[in-house]
Formats: sequence, C-alpha cells, structure tokens
Amino acid sequence: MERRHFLKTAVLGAVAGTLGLKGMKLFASEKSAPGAIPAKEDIPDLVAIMGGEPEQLYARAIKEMGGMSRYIKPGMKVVVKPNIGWDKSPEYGACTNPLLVAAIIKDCLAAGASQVKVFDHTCDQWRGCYENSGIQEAVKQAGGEMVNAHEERYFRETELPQALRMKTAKIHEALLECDAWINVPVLKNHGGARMTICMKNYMGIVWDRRYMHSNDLQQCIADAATFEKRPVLNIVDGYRIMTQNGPKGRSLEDVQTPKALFMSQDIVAVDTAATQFFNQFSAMTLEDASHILLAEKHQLGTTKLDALNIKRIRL
Amino acid sequence: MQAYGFLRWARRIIALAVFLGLTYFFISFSAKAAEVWNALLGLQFVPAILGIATGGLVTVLIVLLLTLLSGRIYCSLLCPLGIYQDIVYRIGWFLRNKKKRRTHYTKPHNTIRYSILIIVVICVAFSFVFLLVWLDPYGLFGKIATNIGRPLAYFVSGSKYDAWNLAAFLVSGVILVALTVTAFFKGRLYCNTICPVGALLGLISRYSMFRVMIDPESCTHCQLCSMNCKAFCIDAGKPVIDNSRCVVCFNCISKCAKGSVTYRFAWKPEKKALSAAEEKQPSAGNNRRAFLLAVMGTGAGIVLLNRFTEKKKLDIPKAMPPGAGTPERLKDTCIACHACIAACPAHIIKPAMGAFGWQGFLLPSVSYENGFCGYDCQKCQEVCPSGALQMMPLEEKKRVKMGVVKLMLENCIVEKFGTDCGACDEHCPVKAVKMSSREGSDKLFPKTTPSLCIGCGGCEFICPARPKAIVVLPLSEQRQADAPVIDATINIEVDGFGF
Repeated sequence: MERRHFLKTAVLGAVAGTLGLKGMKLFASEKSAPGAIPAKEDIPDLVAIMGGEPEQLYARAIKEMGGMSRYIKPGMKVVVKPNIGWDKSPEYGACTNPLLVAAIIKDCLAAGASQVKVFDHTCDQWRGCYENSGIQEAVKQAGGEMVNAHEERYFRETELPQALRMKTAKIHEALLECDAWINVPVLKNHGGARMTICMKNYMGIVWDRRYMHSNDLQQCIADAATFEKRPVLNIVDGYRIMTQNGPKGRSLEDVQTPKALFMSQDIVAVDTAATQFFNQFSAMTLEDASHILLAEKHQLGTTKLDALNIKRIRL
Repeated sequence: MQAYGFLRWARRIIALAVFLGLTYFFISFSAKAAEVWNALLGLQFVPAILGIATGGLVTVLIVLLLTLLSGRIYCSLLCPLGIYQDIVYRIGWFLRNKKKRRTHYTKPHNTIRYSILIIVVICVAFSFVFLLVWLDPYGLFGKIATNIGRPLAYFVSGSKYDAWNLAAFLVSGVILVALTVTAFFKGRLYCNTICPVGALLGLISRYSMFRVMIDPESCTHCQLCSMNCKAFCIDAGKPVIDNSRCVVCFNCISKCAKGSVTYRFAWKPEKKALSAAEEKQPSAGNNRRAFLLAVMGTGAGIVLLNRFTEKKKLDIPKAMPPGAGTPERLKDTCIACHACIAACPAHIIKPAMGAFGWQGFLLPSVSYENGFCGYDCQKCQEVCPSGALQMMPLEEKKRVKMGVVKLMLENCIVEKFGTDCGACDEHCPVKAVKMSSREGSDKLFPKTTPSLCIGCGGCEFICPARPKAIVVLPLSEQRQADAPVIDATINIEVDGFGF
C-alpha cells in the first residue's frame, strides 16, 4: 500500500513538474497554519472535503495542498475567478460562496500577492450580480479588487491554438495580465452543458458566449479550457449545490447543502470528482457533461480518479 | 435686508442641489447611487396629478398649499426646468455688459397662457395626456436629461449607451435649444407663457398669503427692481408686481435701495397695496365668455380627435415596462419623463417610436436586444413618479406578464446542429422554457410552458441562433402569470463523496 502510494505520488510529481511547479518552494511560509506542512510527495492530487463551513473547508484543503504559498509567490498579480453569473443571494447557490472567495483572497494576499482581482462576465445584469451575490462586498473586505467585465472593451482577442472549434476568443484583460489565477466555481447542474463546474466557469472569462452556444457548446467549453494560462488551483465550492433548474435556479428547493469542497490542480479530475459527487443527488454521467471527456482528449487532465492520490476528509 | 439676502442664498443653494440631484439621477450609471434623489421625483407636480389616485395626492396638496402660502416657490426651488432656465439666464447675465443686463416689464401673454391651461385641463380630465407630455416642465427636463445628458455621460466615460435613440435625442435637442435661447434672452418666458404648471400655480399665487409687494408710498419708481426681474413681471411705474408671474426669487427685494419691495403677509385687508390681482382687468364680459367657450371648444375638439383616431384595441409591437397595464393606461398616466429609462439597469426600456400609436411617441417601451428584465428588479416601478408603472410588491412584479414566449424549434441550435445549447433555459427565471429529453436522442431540447412565462426576454436576448429560435411576443394587456409549481423540498444526505 505504502509503496503503491509512493509510486503514484512520484508519477504525479513528474506531472506537476511538467506543469511548472518544479522550482517552487517546498517547505515554506510562515503564513501557513502551524503544524506539519506536507512534503511535496505527500501532496495529494485532489482534496475532497465535507462537513464544515466554507472557510474551514478551504483552510483544511489548502493545508493539505501544501499551503497557498506553493501556488502564489510574493509580488504576483492574482485573479480569483468565481462564478458570479446570476443576480441571486448566496443561499440560492447560484454563485460561488462569498465566504470562500474572501478566504481565498486573504490567503493570496498573505502569500504575498501584490493584487487580487475578481471578475465575472455575468449573465444577469452585472451590477445586480456583483452586489447581490455578496461577492463584491466580500472581495472589498478581504482586500481584493472587483473589476468590470460587462463590456467588450475589457476583453482581448486571444489565440487558442489547441482548440478544435473556438480557435480564438476574446478573453478578459485581467486574466491576460495576471501572473496566476485561481478558478473558483460553484457546483451546479446546467440545462445546456449539463454540469457547470471548473471548465464551464471559463465562460465567464470569454466575451462571446453566444458563439460558444451555437458552435457545439461542449467542445467550445473544452476549447476555452485550453487557454494557455492554466489556473494554479481549481477550487469547487460544494457548500451549497444546485441540483435542478440550474444554472440560475428558481427557488430554494433547487439547492442542497452538502457543505463540501474540492481542490485540485487537475481541472479534469476535479470536474470529474465533482460530477460524481453530484451524481449522488441527481443522476449525471461524464457522457452527459461531455466537455469533461473532451477536455481529457485535449490532455488537460484525467478522468481516471482511481489513478490519483485523493485525500478524502470529513470534518 | 439681511434676512432677504439669506432667503435669496437659501433659494439658490436649495435650487442648485435639486437641479444637480435630479440631473445626477437621470444621467448616473448606477441606479443604486441615484436612489438618494428619488424623493425629488415624488415632489414633481404633474406626475403627482396624473398619479393622484396612486399616492400623488399628498404631493399635489403640498404644492398647492405651499403656493397658497408663499407663492410660486415650487417654480424656483423644485422645478428642474425652471432652475435650468434660471441658470441659463444667470449665465447670460454674467456675459452681458451692465446696460444690457437691465430688463423691463412686459405684458403677460395671458391669452396663450390660460388657453393652454384650459385645454390641457380638459384633455387630462378626459384622459388625453399627450399635450402634457410636451408641456410639463419636469417631463421635458427628464426627456432632455435622459436622451441628451445620458448618452453624453456614457460617451465621455467610454461606455456604450444601449438605450440610444436618435429621434428622442433630436426632439429633446430642439426643445433644449429653444428653451435655452428663450431663457437666455427672456428669462422665465416659458414658465409664464406656456407652462401649464406655471399658469395654474400663477392663478393661486395672485392670492397667496405671502407675496412680494411694493409699497407705493416709499417707492421712487427708480426701476431697479424691474430691471433685475427675470420674470419681467414688475411694473415699477405703477408700481405693481404681477404675482401670477413672480417666482419669488427675491432678486428685486435685495436690489431696492428704499426698502420698498418686501415679501410680506398680504391677507391684511386694511393695508391696501396695489397688486395685479386686484387691478381692474380690462373687462369685456361677452368677449371673454366667447373666448373661454372657444378655448374649451378647442380642448373638447382635441379630445374628440384623439378618441376617433385612437385604435380601440391595440396590438403592440413592443412590450411595456412592468406595471404599465395596458397601452391605454400607460398613455393616461405617463408623461414620458424617462426616469424609468434612466433607472433600468438592463437598458431594455427605450423611448417608443410608433409602437403605441402617435399618442405614445417617446413613451417607455421594452425591447430585448441589449438585455432582459431582471427578475428581482423593479427599479422602473420604484422611480416612476406618476404611478404609470404601478408600484407593487416584488412577488407580484415577478409574475407580471409583459409578453409571452414563442419557440420556433426549427431555428434552434440543438435541432439544427445536434449540439448542446440550453442558453434559453439557463436564463429563464420561472422555467417557462426548460430543457427536456426526447426519445431517441441524448440531447436536451427546449420546451416551453407559456402560462408560466413573464416575458422578461432572457431567452430572446441570449438565444444564439440566427434567426432567433425563441422570442417574446408583447402583450397589450399585462396580467399575472401562473405561479410556477415548486418541487417539494427533499433534503438529500450523502455519506461519501461518490468516487
């Protein structure tokens, strides 16, 4: 058991190396909570955690992942990209939990980030989304900066060389200019894409969503995820999840509160894990949410969770 | 004298605050930031009259009593168009050399003034508000601020203005230029000749409790007061002030070297100061009656003309903002001040062209090219000062059916290309369109339940198909949509992660 564990970790260490983690500090950060900082080889590929408040879930998960200072270096310009798509208050689970967003921002700043910007190209009227999701206030309190994304002028044409359908896309300038970004979606069902998790959250960094909807949505979502600057972390908010009538939701009956969180660098793996978690509430397969499979074809990650070192925690 | 100086400055400061506040309300980008100035809309006289049944009565009484008490203070302090003219006139005053600053008494144009008032009153009494749309000072101010000020503000900030309308811009431009020119040269000429509010309040202010008056004993007929009157209403030769035209600006009082001009209690019977009200009008009994009859006949004629040209049941090509009810009701109560257009965060309310007939020109209409009606938003109803967009509990507004969904499946992306889309379902707040499975396909197709639809336009706005596969057909009678059947709450507990 020990040996197999070790081997897997070694393989993944290599993968991590290719992802550019090589030179990163292994032991560090006076900012991280006291206690053992996991050695590089002990860092899991994916942390799944359940049964706590958003900040607790996050604090424990990031500790398992080696602390934020593994991912954010002093002086970095950081973008945190939650889902702020809808003009809904937090209890409806339509947008990422503001407490989680705030916790991440604080942690980034503690790790030395020079600035943390937050935005989403919203579906509902943007001001309502920013305000009523509670995220604008949370970002302000945490020391981050909310930036506009409601006009085309904030987006710049960007090549997506790996893409199959969407070869270029207009991507938000904050993302193009940052040194690192963190993808923080909320777990929801979706009438079109079936699931909206990490990759679907990319739709909020792109200006023209109608293009994506009309040119094979699933492929376009996978294509968007090929954007060269990958998130240093994907953190799925599963504190409240929307199991029906998503992504906007209609009433509180659409919401379940499993108080979970998933964290990984592998966007395909974390979307797979979250989908399988979701499947316990409402039937869902990867074949339905096929952008996850298409992203695997793009070699953005793996859907084979069995091959990964997953840390499962119940608080 | 010092007290008058204080009053004059108080007037200037309050007027400027009101003017800037209202201007900010109309051009501000954020409806929330503009909320502070909402109350000023509620104090506007004409909207309050049109909405007298829906909360306007208090304002109407306040304004009438205020005028009875102290003269046309409303025109100086609360009317944004009046204040604008004062500002223009004052700028002109600074630009002119000393000699040209002098004004002089002019005769009132009472025939025009009261003809307009009578015709407007008759028209409004018979539910024909069209004339008021083009005469009410607040409505004109709103149109100018929204259709010229707003696009300008957006242009300066580099943003795109979605509710841009060339016709509204041009019409407002003509009005603005005309008003600016008259105000520059002739001060409050509009207020005392055309404005029906000015005429009505003028009738009252002749008899108000406090009036600006000249004491004939001490007056030396030096003309100083008359030369500084922006309403051109002081005849220093007599000497007498036409209180029906005086807007109580206190300028004359501070100019008078003898202290003869005062603002004082005027209901004392023994002190017989001359004022225009008590002056003997050149009477011509029969002529006057004939004139009145002619004017009233004109009013009745206009009302009848409207009745005959107005289509009974209008099929409207554009939806109305929530709370409008029917096009008829909208036309009865809306003065097209465009506060709703300014306040709509989604920029879907735009000035109508011919959508509601010629009588509805520039009234607010809804179209979905740039957005859709926010489910939890009722900004337009909150700001509407006349109740044309009837305020209602939010839960009720969420059911207001502005239009009804029409699906043309043959245009749908899923149908045409066999790929997932679901943008309509995504945006529908009531699930009047929902993605549903179909036998023999692993795709989900949109399916509509029109009885649930509120016509918010989310689906039409976002539908990526060209031509659109889903649109909202406007309804000419807004009603409540069926409440969605909410699924029973099931709390699912899970033990593991599922992987």
